[in-house]
Amino acid sequence: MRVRGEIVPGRAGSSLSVTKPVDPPVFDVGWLYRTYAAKVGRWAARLGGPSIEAEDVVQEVFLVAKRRLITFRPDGNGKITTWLFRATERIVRAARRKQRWRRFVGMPDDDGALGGDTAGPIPGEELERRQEIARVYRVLDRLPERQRRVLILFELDGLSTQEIATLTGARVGTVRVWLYRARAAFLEHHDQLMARDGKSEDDRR
Amino acid sequence: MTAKLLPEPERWSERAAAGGPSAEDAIGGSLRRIKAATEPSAATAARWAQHAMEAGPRPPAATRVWSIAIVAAILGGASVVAASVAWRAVVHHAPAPGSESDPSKASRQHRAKMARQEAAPAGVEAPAPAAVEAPVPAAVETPATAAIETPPAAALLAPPTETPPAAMATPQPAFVAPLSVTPKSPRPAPRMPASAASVTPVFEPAPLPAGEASRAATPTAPDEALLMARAFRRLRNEGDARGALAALDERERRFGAGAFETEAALARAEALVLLGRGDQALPILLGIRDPHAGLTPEVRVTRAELLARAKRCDEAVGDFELVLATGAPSATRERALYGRASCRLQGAAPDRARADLEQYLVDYPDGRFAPVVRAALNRLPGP
Repeated sequence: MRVRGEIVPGRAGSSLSVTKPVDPPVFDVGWLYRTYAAKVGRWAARLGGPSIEAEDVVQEVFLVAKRRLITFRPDGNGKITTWLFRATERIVRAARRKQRWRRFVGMPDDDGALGGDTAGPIPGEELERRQEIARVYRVLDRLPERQRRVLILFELDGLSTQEIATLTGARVGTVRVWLYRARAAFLEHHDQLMARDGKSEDDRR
Repeated sequence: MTAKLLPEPERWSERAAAGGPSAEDAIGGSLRRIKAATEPSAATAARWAQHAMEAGPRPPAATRVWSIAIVAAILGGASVVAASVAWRAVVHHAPAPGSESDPSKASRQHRAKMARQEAAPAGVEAPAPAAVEAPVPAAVETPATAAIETPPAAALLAPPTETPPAAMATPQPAFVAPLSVTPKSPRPAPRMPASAASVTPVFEPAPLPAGEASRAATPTAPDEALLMARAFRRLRNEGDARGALAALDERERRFGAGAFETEAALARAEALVLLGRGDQALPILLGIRDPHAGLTPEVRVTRAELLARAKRCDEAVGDFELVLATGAPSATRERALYGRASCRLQGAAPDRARADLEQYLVDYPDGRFAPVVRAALNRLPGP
């Protein structure tokens, strides 16, 4: 089975506009790993947030891909990307559910990709960066799943609404509606969180 | 009509570059830092790819959980079954093998009953020993019928002369000869002699209903009962002893002893006798030990007749006497009385044979064997 070169319309610099190798000699797993590991890892880290280990997600995604590769039939541009994205999204969602469950039962969170190595002392700037990331994801986690996904893909992954529509299988208009709502909800929750944090800060003082 | 799309909004992460004081600007700054933090380097991506390639086929967590749950359920179920079996073994004493309360036997008998119901016409309740009672009159060449059809020892049955008949002098009784009838070719449909009408078996197999017959004859039907029904139908309805034997062979090949071991043995014996292979039928009948489903009076008297034919009168007399001692049907008793007289003549016990013959004429003055008995009595020396 041969795979046509993946030519996906997109903005320069976006993750989907990267030129893909054209006509690989064989559609093998090694080629798939080398070509898409960075993309899948990026999706995993951004969709999962600081509590998800991106490398674990990458491995899970490629295990699934390896198992199902034989039945995969690319029939259009961007199809394999869509396929990998949906697998990544499912695995990240499962990992987040697991994290929520761990929090619910009082178990400590795993250190995710954004958590870094906590073995040594954390410099002040790094600590501030982590707190900032955690705050953004606290707000994102309050959004409905579709809005959260669209906002992350738009803001963090730099995809256009057209590219998001391709990835998620939704219409462009729908994606834009989700995006507008997500942004509004994000601002509202962010303000609430900031206000609460500020109040707490005042209380501490 | 085209729907008016919302314009694509400006990215917050790009507004941060402007460095404005708004909340969007602050959020944009955070997003930009997250974006930078989550952008894997080429080395990291290569490491991920390498690790992914090296990763073994680890099942997903959900699969592992389900696997554990299924294994636990199987083990739990097996434990429950084992405990249940142990409990039954302890609480309920296992019945002695062969006893009526033996569950396996009860199950076998139940299945036998179901098979008989299968073979019987709808609405007619087949009696339990149906498969047993039928073989006797249809298959066995009784001494009486044989004697009437072919009086082989005519000289022995001739009126007694001055000197005692040779048969009497030597232990060559008049009633032995009819038992040694040459094998007969299988008849298309075994018919009872007119004189033996009273020996009509309790279970007279009738043609099965069309649906039932077709179902029973289905060659792919894996049911042992269906094979039995097929054997009986060929034997009784079609007179096809060879076809019945084929069906019985198939049943034995598929099920071994199976649930109808006794019934199959009786059917096989019947078919063999019908084919004139009484010598092969005798060991089968001798192997039947079940007094309830197997050794009915009719089967016992048939076995005794075959034993007498095989010149094993010592064994045959026991069966004849047992039949006469127990309240056997009249026709069966008639055969037993006649057979015992024959054996007693073989055993050079003319007095006891005379008693049986006279008793026969008392009980059955118009019986099947009455002419032969009278002739024999005339040839016997006086008491």
